[in-house]
Amino acid sequence: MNKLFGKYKKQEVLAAGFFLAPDVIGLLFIYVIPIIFVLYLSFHSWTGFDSIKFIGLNNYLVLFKDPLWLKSLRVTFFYVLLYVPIVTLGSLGLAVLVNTNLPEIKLFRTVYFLPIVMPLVVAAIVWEFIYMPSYGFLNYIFDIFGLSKHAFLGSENEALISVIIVSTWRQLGYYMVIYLAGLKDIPKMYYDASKVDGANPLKQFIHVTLPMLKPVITFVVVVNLIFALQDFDPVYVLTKGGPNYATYLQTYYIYEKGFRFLKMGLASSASIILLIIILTGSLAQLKIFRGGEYE
Amino acid sequence: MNRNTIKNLVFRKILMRVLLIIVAIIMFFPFLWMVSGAFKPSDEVMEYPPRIIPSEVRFENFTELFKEVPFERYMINSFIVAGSITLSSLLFHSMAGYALARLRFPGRRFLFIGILSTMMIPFYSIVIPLFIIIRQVGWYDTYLGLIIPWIPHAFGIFLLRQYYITFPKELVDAAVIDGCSHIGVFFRIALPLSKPILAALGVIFFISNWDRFLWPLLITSSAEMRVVPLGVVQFKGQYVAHWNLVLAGATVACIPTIIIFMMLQNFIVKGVKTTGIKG
Repeated sequence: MNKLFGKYKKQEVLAAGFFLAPDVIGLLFIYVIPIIFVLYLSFHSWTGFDSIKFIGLNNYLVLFKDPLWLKSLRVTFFYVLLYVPIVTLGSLGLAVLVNTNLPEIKLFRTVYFLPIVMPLVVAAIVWEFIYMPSYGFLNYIFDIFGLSKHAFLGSENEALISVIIVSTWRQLGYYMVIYLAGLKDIPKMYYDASKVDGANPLKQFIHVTLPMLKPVITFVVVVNLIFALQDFDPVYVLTKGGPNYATYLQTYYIYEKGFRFLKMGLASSASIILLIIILTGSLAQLKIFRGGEYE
Repeated sequence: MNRNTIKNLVFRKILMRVLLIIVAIIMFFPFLWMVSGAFKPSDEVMEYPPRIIPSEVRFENFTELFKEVPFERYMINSFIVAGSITLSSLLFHSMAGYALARLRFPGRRFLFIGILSTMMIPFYSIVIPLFIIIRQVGWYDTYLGLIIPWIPHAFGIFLLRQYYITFPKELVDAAVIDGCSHIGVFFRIALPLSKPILAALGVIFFISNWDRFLWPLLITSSAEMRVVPLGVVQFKGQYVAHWNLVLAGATVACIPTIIIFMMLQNFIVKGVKTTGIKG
């Protein structure tokens, strides 16, 4: 026993075991075993009730030929392509806007942060009401400005962006707070120095603020990407993946195949691919942003 | 300063306020519209052009809502679920974080990297096996099924580990010299002194677990087990034409988190910063 522990104190090792046991066992059962299980299932055919049949790569082959899955891959791609820049830049804009010392600025910060307090599905319900084609408030605004009424969630072209607006509205304040903390961390002397050099506010923003915020921006982009690839609730409430699969995200495909059509194997292979997309996406972004540091 | 620069400055201040107010209206409007709709009579809620202020304030919408569905039960369920997850997470994560930061044992680095790597597993890629496992264990449609999967969380462990690394070593050493065991040091000294960070993290944990929707949708079937977000969505499905009742439900669903927000605003902002920046 003493040899095994060597330089470690037995009492300390036992205490560590006691402290770590609940979380490590939990992580094992909630993450590690399921991820192995899902990989196993992706090579099998199973409804969740009958016996499991090994079918090799068949699920993946079916997936790559399934027009619905390919469509959902495209939808997810566009979702991320729109959502990530809108939230990343929008929240940065808000942070810059509220980073002043007006006496009432705290009130504005609070109001901007408030949407995060509304549960996401509740936000989706309220926005559905705002989006209503015939009597919705947004169409009322459009009407005032002499624009024609829109179907929003009912239109194949507008549904995806309408869903993105809901998620964006809810998340902006959260990332604003993160950016704001980053902005406050930038030493004031950098701004003073650049002012002496004759930089205007725009130049200061490009040459001082942005480079100093780079780690925060990287964080926000990566977190947003992971979040966007896993968005589900607003789609479930607002469009159920429609109209004509215009908002059929990868997560919705997994949900429907696995839990409505009970194709556990097929849904598992889709899960594996989503995992690969999320991992490569976030690693690539970390790499891109990090690469810039050595310029 | 000449007159032009002063004029410019005043102009900029006005422009900024206008911008601030426009954004504030966009951010706040959905709240206003929800509450306004929640008090309207059922025909007025679908009136066009819409009126902002209801012609009469109908509190009956709320009494009707509670008569139609056991909303108070949903509330209690959500409190039990989000509360248990928050308390257990705080305890287990600070224990694990403390061990990883402060105790010396074989395989510490390996274990830490192992824990961190589970952070990369997205929930949607494990939802199927997790569902099967929970059903197999017999936790389908139970509190345990709603609670247990959300307790282990690598990110929480990571944040608390970072916190305990900067924890003053002298306090711990003094206690050890006094003959306190490691477990005693943690519970009597480290844990009580970490109240501020635990409060900040706790609020974030609670709000994000109050928000869960897909998992309760999958793992529960009876009305007695329904949590608030699921209850609101299913209520909406049943009462499509009664927007005033649906919005009353939505309003009620927001109240707990709004109260928490108003009471603990500083903790929340601190929590966002801790979970955001140091991550």
